[in-house]
Amino acid sequence: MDERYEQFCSGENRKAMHRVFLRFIEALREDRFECLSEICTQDCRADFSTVGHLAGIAEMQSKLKWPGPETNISRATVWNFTARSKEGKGQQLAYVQFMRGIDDGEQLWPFQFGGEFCSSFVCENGVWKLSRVRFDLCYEKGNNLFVRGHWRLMDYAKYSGHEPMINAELDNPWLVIPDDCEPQTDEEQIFELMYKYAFAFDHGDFYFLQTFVTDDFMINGSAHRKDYWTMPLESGDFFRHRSVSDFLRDKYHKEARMMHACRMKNIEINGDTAVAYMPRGEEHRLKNRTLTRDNVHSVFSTALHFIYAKKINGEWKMYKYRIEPVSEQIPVEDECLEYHEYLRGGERDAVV
Amino acid sequence: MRSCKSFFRDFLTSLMYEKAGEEAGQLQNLKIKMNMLGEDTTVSGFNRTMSITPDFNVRFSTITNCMEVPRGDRTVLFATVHHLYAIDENQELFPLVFGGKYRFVYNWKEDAPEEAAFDLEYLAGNTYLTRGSWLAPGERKRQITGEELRAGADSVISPEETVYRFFWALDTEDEALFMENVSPDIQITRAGVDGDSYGMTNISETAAFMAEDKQYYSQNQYSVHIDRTEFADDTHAVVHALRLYPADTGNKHRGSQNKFSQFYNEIFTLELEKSDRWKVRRAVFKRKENPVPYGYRVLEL
Repeated sequence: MDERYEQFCSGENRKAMHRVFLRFIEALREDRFECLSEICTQDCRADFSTVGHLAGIAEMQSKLKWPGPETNISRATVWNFTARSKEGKGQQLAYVQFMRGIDDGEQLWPFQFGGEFCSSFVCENGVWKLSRVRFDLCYEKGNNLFVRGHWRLMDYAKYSGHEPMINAELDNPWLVIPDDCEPQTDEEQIFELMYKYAFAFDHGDFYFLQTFVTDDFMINGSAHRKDYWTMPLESGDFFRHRSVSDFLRDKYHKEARMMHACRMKNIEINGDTAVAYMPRGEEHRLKNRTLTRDNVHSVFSTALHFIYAKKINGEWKMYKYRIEPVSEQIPVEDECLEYHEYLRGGERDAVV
Repeated sequence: MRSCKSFFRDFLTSLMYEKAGEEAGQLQNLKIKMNMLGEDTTVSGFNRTMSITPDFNVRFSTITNCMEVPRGDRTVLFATVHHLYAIDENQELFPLVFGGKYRFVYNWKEDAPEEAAFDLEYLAGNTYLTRGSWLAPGERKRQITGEELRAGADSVISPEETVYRFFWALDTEDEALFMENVSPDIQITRAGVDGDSYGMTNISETAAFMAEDKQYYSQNQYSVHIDRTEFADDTHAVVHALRLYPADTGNKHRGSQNKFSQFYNEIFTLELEKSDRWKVRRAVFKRKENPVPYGYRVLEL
């Protein structure tokens, strides 16, 4: 467990759910599921778009095993982690990007996949456990024959790409638990605005979007043109909800599943206003790079998000969202489950 | 009379469907030099290099940058080709995508294909299918160059053929071919992936630009689909082109429903001027973050 996250994270419940979730992801990464009996309730259910609906720990231990050939690289990184709790119940959200690969000393044979977890917790005798795990695959790339016949993969022509396991109205942590019993720090609330934005955008829930942005919210996206065919164009600015939501819908409807996986880079708080710097990492879209033996042990940044926030009546809201394209590769050990520059000393990107 | 290109199409069809003996007898004994294989192969031998999964039910190829050069009794054809082999089942796609450059020689006197060579330039998707059969990138040697495309000042080629040669020169780092097809005051502006740009402002920067371009992109292959050519007058033309990039579909995904689509990641605008021949004077490469997965041209099979 990363002590830096423990120090950053407020709330004992939140910390406990974070620890449990990371153990669950580690179990998937290592293909070792003995710990499920400790971190899941006996009647735990799991809904994985890849392997179906599972009931009980034994079935989870059996069906969640890696079905492909033996690999000597297995990576998993957690992004957008959120957890909320009240009265012994918890609801958690995260994106996870996985990579299974064979490095034979000459070449890399990778299979990348990523998706969204939205799970429920209960506190049993003071111990937080997973009671329901939900996972929707969002993308897969590379050697997907590794899992042919074992997993349901993506049908990119279909909403969600497969039977959706996560429902935006019923499973959204901020709706399931509107009032977290543990207050969050300013930093947590501001970083979390990005995770809320990602949930709203990626699930097409633009009513939810209105709950955490200001009335004069704007998107400043220089890389997102209003007319993709006529270039150069004015910068992609969208003002207020009508313009913003129409733009986001335009993007949303073209993909089976979007996945805005982000991490915490840095934050500047000045009284009641703040800017958070949050890189997006699309590990399956490396732009001018291809995944090789040399760069596989890395996290990638493909965009930098600037979250401009202001505190209104004690509540942080996003008033501007800015996107800059970047291409960055940061070597990270395969054991790293979660990478945030902010927890490693912070670093403000030169792009401001 | 059939063109060399039509024989090349036959060749690709045979290569994909392994029908050399049945449908194109001339191709049966043709030796193919593929740089990802350790030795020459034949049409029927090629597919056996991917025999781990023989149940591909999708085979599809796209030809771009096609140029034919007459050489006495022969025609030498150069082209960039993208191959898609895939298993499509239950609306799931398991693709193997690869592409590169072909050199194909047809002997008119013998009325038969004489030579075929292929340089693999990229490999994506289910690459594991080639493990143990295809050579690693460091072991593959480029055999197809731009040398034969150097035409000399007296040759008459169209703006489009000039553009193909321009890009072929960049791919093969053939400075002589490049200089033959650009004017001395050539300007290139190339958008990077992070909003920055780089380029060149005159012909003396050719080597530096080629080196920077190769370094910037891990997979540097200019496969272009020319959308249209606009002529301002007899000596000025603008060629609008899109770059195909099937290895990485940007923020789109290759799936069962769009397996026959083309994926583009850049837009090229090239201004040409004709003095003794057409030459590229200004080229602007822009990224197109949202590739449109519509097929413009497909190989008819």
